[in-house]
Amino acid sequence: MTPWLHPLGTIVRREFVTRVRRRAFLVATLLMPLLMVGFVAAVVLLTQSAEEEAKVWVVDHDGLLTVPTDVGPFVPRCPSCYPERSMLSYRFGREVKSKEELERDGFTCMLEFDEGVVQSEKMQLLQLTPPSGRSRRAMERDMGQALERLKVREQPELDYDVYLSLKTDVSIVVMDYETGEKQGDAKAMVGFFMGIFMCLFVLVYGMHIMRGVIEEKSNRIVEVVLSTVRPRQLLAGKIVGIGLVGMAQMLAWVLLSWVLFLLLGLGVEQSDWMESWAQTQGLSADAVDFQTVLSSQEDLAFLLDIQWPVMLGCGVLYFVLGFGLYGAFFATIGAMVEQESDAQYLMIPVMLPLTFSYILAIQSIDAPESWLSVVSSFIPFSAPISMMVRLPMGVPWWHVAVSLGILAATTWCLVLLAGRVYRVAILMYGKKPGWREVWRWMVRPDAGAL
Amino acid sequence: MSHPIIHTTGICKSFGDHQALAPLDLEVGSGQIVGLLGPNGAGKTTLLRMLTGITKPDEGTLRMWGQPHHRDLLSRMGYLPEERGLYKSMRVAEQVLYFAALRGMERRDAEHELRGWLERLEVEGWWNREVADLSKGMAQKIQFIATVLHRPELLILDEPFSGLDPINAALVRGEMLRLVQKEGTTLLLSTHDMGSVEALCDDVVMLHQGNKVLAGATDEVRESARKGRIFLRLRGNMMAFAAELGARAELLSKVTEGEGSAAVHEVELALPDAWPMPGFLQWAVGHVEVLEARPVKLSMEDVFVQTVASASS
Repeated sequence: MTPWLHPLGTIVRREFVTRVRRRAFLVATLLMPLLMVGFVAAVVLLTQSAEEEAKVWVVDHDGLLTVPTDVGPFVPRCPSCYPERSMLSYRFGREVKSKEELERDGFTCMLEFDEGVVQSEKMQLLQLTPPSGRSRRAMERDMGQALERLKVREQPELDYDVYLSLKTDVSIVVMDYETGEKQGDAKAMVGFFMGIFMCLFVLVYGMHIMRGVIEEKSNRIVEVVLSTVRPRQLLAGKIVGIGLVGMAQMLAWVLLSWVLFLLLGLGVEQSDWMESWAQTQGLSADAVDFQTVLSSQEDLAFLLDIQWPVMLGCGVLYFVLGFGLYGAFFATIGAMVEQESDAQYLMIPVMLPLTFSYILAIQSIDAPESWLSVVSSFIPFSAPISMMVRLPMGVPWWHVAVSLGILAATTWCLVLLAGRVYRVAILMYGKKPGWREVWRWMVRPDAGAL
Repeated sequence: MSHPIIHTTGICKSFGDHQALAPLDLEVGSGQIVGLLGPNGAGKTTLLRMLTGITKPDEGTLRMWGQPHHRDLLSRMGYLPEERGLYKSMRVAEQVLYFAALRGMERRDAEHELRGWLERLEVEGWWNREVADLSKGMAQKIQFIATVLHRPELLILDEPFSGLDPINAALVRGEMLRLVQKEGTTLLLSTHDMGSVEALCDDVVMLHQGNKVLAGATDEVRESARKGRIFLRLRGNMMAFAAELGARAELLSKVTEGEGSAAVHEVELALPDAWPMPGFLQWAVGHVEVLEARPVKLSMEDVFVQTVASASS
């Protein structure tokens, strides 16, 4: 190993090891994947289990949609309007039931038509147990269809089957012209979360750098270290070491989440729940797997459409460069003060671009290809966040290449300048350096250590 | 031909308008113990930082072991600054081995050396101890070990005894002497503890307001500062004696025991170069009864105070 790299490696190792063995790091690393997988499991399982309980008492006062039978209960005029679902069932009647009666008969809610429902198209749902969103949407669909049929019947010149064959529902599927990939708000949300994640990582680990530098400066150990290594080696070692801690945490989250997803999938596939789910979907239990379950969830299906290798690869590159850029800033701020409270006003220039990028990321969910989003994904201070928001929607490769190139060049220049300030400021005690002084250190490369 | 370990010619350093160190010539030979003295703000830390490569001189030449100073030479030095600390999140051995690794030491050698040092400084059980649990004195010993572990040829210690109790200070002092006498280490000692300077240092260099105001062998410096000082115990008319003395010599102190003609006076006088002690005594016995006369021995503390006062005026 070269004389420059040997001490650098030693510093990197110390920064890495002393942080990853902290209890807080281990807890956060293990907890996050559990929360993520737990969230997905909750969405899949809880949604399904909630639907099992939707048993609806439909009150049709005027007998618009139902007819009496000889044996007692009312039956719908249009049985096909209410497809059989194990998660949702109806019983019809003319009378309102009391809460006690509903509970006694095992109903979870009561759907009562408004007076003049044909015109108003309004109904009231009185719930004992809230139905799932899916069940509620199915109720609206079923009742709408039944009312529609009634209206058509009242028009003698209209044939319902002809009406159905003419009825047209348009749904727009957004696709990328070149790649043919499906687009959607949900994908933009993934980008948004990746961008916010990046922003948080840079901020959290940037603060780690700053605190590390302040600790070394305030307990004066830095003078011993600098009698052995160059300030730039110490600065680089700190940024790389702490950056690796962040990357290790990200990697651990990805791997642990993947393993937990596999375990969750295996658990779901071998459970009785899977069989009953397949039945409700009208599928053979042998033909479905966990992926089928995921893709059936409107809220989660988009996860399968995202190009994760590209997202994660770019995520790592943007993190490395973005972290280097902001890390150099945080280290310089740490070198300029003796305690953390003094750093607050110096952090404003660093926090501004991060906050700007965060606001822009929110805007970009609706318009990821707006000129503001595109331009900000080339500006080095906002690129790590803005480009991550755009990426899931599909971005021309040269946009990514140019953005990374500009970011890399800016990071390199700023690390060099920050190193010049760091090596002088880190040994300055008592007096806070002014901006004029900082400027002089930046433009006078010969000042400082041997 | 052996080169001096440290050889500076006209090195100086300014911070903005403030000159921290005026052009300085300094030479420290191999195996010497040199005391670097001076009041606060004299420029000692600035000099030490230049010697340890932390800052560069603005001007002048700095040669170490006969070569222009460069970073490769830093591994031959051990530096213990006055304001020092340890990483609180690390254990004792881990911390010392980290510094050894930074200085390019093999881990196995470093562990072997560390065991020896922990034993010599009577802290064998501290290998896995949390640094955060150490008292100031305990931390001081660990910092000393971290400074000497890689067997430096030049040891630069800034106030190495601060925070140590007398027993531990003696222990560390003994180890410093062992390094110099047995291993030929050169020691540059910056301290305000003049007792240690008298006990340890072959040579002293004193800085004041960035300027070198005193330099030389410790004994010679004390002898030179003492020159002309004499202690007398006398009996007789002190008033008449002082009047006879007039401005020919400076009366530095006077203590009187007893009263009247039986009173005994103890005085300290500073004689001018033109009036050597034998001539003065010959003159004195003609005026008073001289009971005792001896040259005054100055402590390094006296020398320090005298030199600073003289330089300030």
